[in-house]
Amino acid sequence: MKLLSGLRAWVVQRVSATLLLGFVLWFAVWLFLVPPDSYDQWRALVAHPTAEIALTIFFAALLAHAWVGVRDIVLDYVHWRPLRAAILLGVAVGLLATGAALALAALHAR
Amino acid sequence: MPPPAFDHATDAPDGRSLISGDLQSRHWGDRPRFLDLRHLSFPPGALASIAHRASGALLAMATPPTAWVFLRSLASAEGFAEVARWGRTLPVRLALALLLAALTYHLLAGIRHLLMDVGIGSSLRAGRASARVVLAAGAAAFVAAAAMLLR
Repeated sequence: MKLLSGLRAWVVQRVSATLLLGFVLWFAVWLFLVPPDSYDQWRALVAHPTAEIALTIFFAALLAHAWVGVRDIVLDYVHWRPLRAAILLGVAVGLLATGAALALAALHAR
Repeated sequence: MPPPAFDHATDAPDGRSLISGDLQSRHWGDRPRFLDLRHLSFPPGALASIAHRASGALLAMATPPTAWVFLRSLASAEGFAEVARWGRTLPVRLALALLLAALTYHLLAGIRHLLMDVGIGSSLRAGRASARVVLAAGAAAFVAAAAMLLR
């Protein structure tokens, strides 16, 4: 697990945090200004080219941020190696499956 | 027998040991471990940090189900109607209020951390003050989210 640890994890956490902060504020304002009342409106909102790019960046940043954050917590509090490995494996599988489902849906929508 | 000497490293000012009985024999090298949560004090910064972790863990756990609901709402008109229907039920609105409050708090505490990283408000005084502010704002966010979603 050298891929996301040490200084790199620290940087990833801060860069993704900044991206997520910007996206959440932007999306909240957008939802407030143009609340989607129907499926077609909602679909059009998400399929908007700007939203498409932003959502891709958002979910990538979210999954990376969640991984680094949960990893930090688990490494701090779970000291028994087998349990630590099991929890980290479960979290990794859950986050990767989420990413895969999102990516497949995005490809399918094209 | 003389009374035991006061040990500055392990004893609270009132003379209680900071280390609970079953932990007294467990040391890292020469250093004792202060793990008795009943005797440790939690300054505002520690509470803000723990709440940041707890809200983050909650948001991380909510991510896969939220992504699933997001995809379902986009998959078809029926899926959208179904998600809208869930959104009107009490348990979902309760969970939503909790997540919204957790997100608001996590963002505020996160902004606090990012500012401290670049040296803004990283003095002890400012850190304690900002910790109190984000904790109060988090509590306010929970009340506001609950009031908005549970009307």
